[in-house]
Amino acid sequence: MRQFVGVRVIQANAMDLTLFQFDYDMSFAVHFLNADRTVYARYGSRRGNEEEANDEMSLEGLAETMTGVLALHEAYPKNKTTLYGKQPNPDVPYPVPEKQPLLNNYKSKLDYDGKVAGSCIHCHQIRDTYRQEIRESGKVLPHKLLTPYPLPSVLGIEMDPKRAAVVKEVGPNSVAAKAGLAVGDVVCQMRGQPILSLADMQWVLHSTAKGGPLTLRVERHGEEKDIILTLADDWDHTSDIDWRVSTWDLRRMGFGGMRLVEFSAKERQEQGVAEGALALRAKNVGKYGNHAVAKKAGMKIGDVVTSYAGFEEAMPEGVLLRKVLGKYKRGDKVSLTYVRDGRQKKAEIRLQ
Amino acid sequence: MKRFLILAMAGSLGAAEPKKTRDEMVHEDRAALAENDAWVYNDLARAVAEAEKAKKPLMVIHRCIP
Repeated sequence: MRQFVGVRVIQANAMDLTLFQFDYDMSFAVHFLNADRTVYARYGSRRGNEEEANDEMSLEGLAETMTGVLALHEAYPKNKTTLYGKQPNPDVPYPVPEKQPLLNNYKSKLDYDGKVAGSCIHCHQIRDTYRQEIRESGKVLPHKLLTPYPLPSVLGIEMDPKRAAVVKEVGPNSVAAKAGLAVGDVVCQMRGQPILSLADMQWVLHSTAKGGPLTLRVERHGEEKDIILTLADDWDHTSDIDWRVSTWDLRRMGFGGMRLVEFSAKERQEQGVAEGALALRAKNVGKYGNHAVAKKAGMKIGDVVTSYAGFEEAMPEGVLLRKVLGKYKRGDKVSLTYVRDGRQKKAEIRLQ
Repeated sequence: MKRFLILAMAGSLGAAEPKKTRDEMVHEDRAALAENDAWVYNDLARAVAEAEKAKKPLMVIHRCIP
């Protein structure tokens, strides 16, 4: 560890957004850099509680990532071209978070003489406020802002948290399974970029806009081979966003503050809901301010939404949320039907 | 350094927090790291200069204040 210069950054205030581009919903994130700002690797976890975080990271896995970083550093700058794809996009809306109009009440430094915790910009606010700014300008949200940094699980790939980049599971009939990826494969490269962590894989997927071939170079039984995944155009549409801190505000915008959960197969059977039909139960309905729009429209916890803004086919909450916010603008009114105590009802929600 | 990493990761994993105000925890966090010469606390420019001089890679941890 003494082979690194370690720095703990505790706030997003003054964060150079032309350099630090990562999944801002992560609760623990690491950048490995050369002093000339070249990015070697990213590392982190999306999870907020101990049990789930252990699903994605461990000291053993981090140590293996660090070993890989040292190898890249040793070979630098001869390997600079292979690192090109890992570098951040210099074209950003704002150079630092506090330049964003919705965050301009924050300063570049923390207020240690006053309310220091309250003077901190949290990483997730970077994307939250950018989304809000777009909505307030009367536009729909672009797909990448609604589906940031997909996890490889969307392709059927689960990584081993105790290793840097080793495949732990491959989902049956998944994109990865069809391409021939196997448990135990060491992912060395994706789209030519050296891969040292799950976060590195998310970076590649985040910059993958369209469907088509995606090449993974893996090491299997001591030999390297290329695995070519074939991505459909909507490959990331089922990416899970439920866990994200920032999804809370998307629910305000798109659902009037409701949190919806998909019916299980058992619930479908019990309630007589046809397979393939939308059935999302209101797990929570916001009570205050702009999060109480659904409540004011009459919605209650336990109501089962069976159509929303014209969408009637079965889908998880996150997919519906993205469809709504990617199609409708702030101020648009959408109709929904829901079932309460066996009776069908209607409501209308004005989107934010 | 390893001890800090364990603590930082544990913090991110939602370890139980003592009953202190958030402001108190932020001040304690800074004081604790100030004693640790293996880490630069919240000063990226200084860390970059040290990395350049020592020809070492940087490990930048983004971890919220408590």
